[in-house]
Amino acid sequence: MRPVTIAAHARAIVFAMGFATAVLSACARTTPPPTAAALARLPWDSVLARARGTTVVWRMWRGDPAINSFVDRWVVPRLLSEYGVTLRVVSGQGNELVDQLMVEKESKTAAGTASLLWINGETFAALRTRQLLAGPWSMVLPAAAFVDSASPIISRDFEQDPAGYESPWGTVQLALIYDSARTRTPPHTVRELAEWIRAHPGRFTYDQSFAGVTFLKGLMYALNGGVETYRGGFDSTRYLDGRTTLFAWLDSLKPSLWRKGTQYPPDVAALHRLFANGEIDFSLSNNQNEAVTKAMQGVLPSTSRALVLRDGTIANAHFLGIPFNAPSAAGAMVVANFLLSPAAQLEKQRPTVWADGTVLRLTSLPAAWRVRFDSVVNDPRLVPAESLRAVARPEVSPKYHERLQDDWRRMIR
Amino acid sequence: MIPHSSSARTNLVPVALAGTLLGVPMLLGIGYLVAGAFGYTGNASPSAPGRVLTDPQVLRSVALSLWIATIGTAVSLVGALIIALCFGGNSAVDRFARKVSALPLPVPTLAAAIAVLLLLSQSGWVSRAGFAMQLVSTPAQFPALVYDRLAIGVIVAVVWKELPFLALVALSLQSLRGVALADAARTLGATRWQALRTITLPLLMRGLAPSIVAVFVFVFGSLELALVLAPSSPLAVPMLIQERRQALDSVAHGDAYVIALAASAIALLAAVLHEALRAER
Repeated sequence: MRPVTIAAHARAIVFAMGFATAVLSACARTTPPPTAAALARLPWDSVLARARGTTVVWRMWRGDPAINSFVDRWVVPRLLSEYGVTLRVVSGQGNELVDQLMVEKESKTAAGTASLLWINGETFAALRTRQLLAGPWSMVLPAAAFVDSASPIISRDFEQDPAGYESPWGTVQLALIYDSARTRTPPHTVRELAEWIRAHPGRFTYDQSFAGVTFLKGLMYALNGGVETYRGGFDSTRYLDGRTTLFAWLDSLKPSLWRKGTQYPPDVAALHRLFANGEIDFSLSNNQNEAVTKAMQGVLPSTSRALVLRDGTIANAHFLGIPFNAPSAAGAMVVANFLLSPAAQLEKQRPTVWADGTVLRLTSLPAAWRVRFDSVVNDPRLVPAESLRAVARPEVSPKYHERLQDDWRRMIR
Repeated sequence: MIPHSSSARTNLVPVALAGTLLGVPMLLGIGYLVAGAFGYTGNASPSAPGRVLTDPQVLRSVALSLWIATIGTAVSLVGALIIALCFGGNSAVDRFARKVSALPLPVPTLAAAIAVLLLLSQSGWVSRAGFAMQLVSTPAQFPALVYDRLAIGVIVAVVWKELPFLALVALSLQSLRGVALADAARTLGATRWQALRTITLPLLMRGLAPSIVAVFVFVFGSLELALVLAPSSPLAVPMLIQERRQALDSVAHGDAYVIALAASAIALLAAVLHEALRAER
C-alpha cells in the first residue's frame, strides 16, 4: 500500500477548501429576501401572509430575567399561535449589533442572520450612519396609529428622527431608588442630594454602565441651565463647559462617596446588590418602576421606592429596528406590530412583569383598554404619571453620552 | 541516507499536524489582532500603538494584571508545594487532605468568583459573622476585599482555583520520583533540610515549571474573575480590552486590538522565558 504523503494530504485539503468556497459562494448568490422598505409598500395582509411560517431571529439585551421571561413565555407562544411566526431570541446589544452587521455587509452575503434588533440612541445613530438599517417601514404598522407621536420622548430617539427606520417599543425614566424604611427624608433636588451625600459619607455611589452615565448626564443638565443648553445637536464648547461644572461637582463630593470615589460598581445589578445589602442607601435605575418590580422579585427590600429629582431626570424611548439584510423582514414587521399592540404594551407595563412604560397614547385607545392601563399605571407604589411627566427631560445628541462616558472614565474613575 | 530520509518523512506528518492544530489558530488570532490594529477588520479604525502603549490607563491596567497573575500564581505555588510535601504520604489523613485540596478543581471559574463575592464583600458572610461577633458595626468597617485596588478578592479566587491544579501536578511528581530520591539522599547522610533544598524542591520546581507558566498566562488573561471581583480603577487588562472593544468609537476598537496584542506578547514572553530557563538547566 502506498504511504500517504504530505503532498497528498495538502492536495486533499486544498480540494476540500475549494469545494467549500464554491458551495458558499453559490449560497451567497441566492436572491436576497424582500426588504422592509419594499414590504412597507404592500397591503398589511400581504405582509402577514409572507410572515406566516417564517423564523425571526431577534437580537436583544438579555440581562434582565424579568424581560427575558416576558419575551420567552408571553410573546413567543402568542406570535406562533396567532401569526405562525417563530421568534428566536438571541443575545446582542450596542456595538455587537453594529459589528455583526458590518461583517455581514463586508462579506456581501444576500441575507444576514438577525431580522429584528432592540436599539436606541447611540446604537441607532451608528447603524443609520453605516446604512445598516432597513426602512422606512415602521409607519405602516397598524398599531402605529395608537403611538403617542406628540410626545417628544417617543417621537425622537436621542434627538434623532426615527424616520420610519425603527418602531417605538417602550419608555423609561431614570430614577433613584431608596428604602423608605431606612431613609425617611430623601433628597428631592440636586442641591439636597449633594448635602445628603456630605452628611452620609460612604453611603452613595453610581454605576459605570449606561444608567450611571445617564444619571451624570441628568446632573450635567441640572447644573448647567437645563436640557435646553444641550438641544440642537452636539456642541463641543457647551459640552466642555458642562463637563467642567459637572466634574467639579463630582470632585467636591468624591471624599463622601462610597469607597471615597476610588471605585465604582460595574453595573446596575452590582449597585442593587450593594443597596439591598445595606452597603449604600441609594441605587438607581433607568426604569422608574424598577424599585417596585425588583422589590416584588425579592431583589430589593420591599420598602424600596423610586425617587425622581425635581431638577429633572432623563426619559427616553427604546425601539425596534430591522437590519438591511434581514432574512425575514415580513416576520420582523409582524413582531414589531404585535409588540406595539395594546395587549402586549399592557402586559409589558404590569409591575409583576417588567413595568416598562407604554409608547401608546392612552386617549386614542378604546375605553376598555384605557381602564386596563389605568389600573396598572395607578399602582400606589409607583411614582404617579403626572409627577414623572413633570420632571421628564428628553435625551440630547448621542454624542453627549459618548463623550461624557469616555471623559468620566479618563478623568474621574 | 534513504532510510534516514524515510524516517524524517514519517516524523514530518505528526509534526506538521501538531504544528497546524496548535500553530495555525494562534497565527490566525494574531493575524486578526494585527489586522484590527491597522483598521482592516472588526469595524476598527487604525490605532496608534505608540499612543496606546504609553497611555497611563493602559500601563496601570497591565501593572494590575501582572500583579494579580504574579501574586496569584506565587501563592498557589507555595500552597501546592506545602500540600505535596506535607500530605504526600499514604496515611488516611494524607489521603483525606489531598481529596479536600482537589475539591475546587471542577468548580467553574465564574462560580468561584461569585462564591468569593458572597464571602468577602463588605456585606458578605465573613463581614456578617464579624457583625454577629460585634467586631464590626457597619459594612464599611470591614476591609474592602472586593472591587479593591489591590484586587485581593481576585487573588483569593485565583488561589482557590489554581492551587488544587498545581497541587495535583506536584503530588504526581513527588510520588513518581521525589520521595525515592530524597530517601536515597537521606540514606547517604543528608539532613532532612538538605534533602528538601537540594533534591525535592528543585525536582518539584523543574516539573512544575510548565504548569506555573500556564497558570500565570491563564490568570493574566482571565476575564471572568475580573468581571465579578476586580476594581474599576485600574481595570484589569481583559476588562480594558472588552471596554474599548464594546465602545461605539471605531478608534477605540483599534486600540483594543493593540492592547490585546500587547497582552499576547506578555503571555508569549512568559512561555519564551520558561523555555530559555529550561535550556539553561
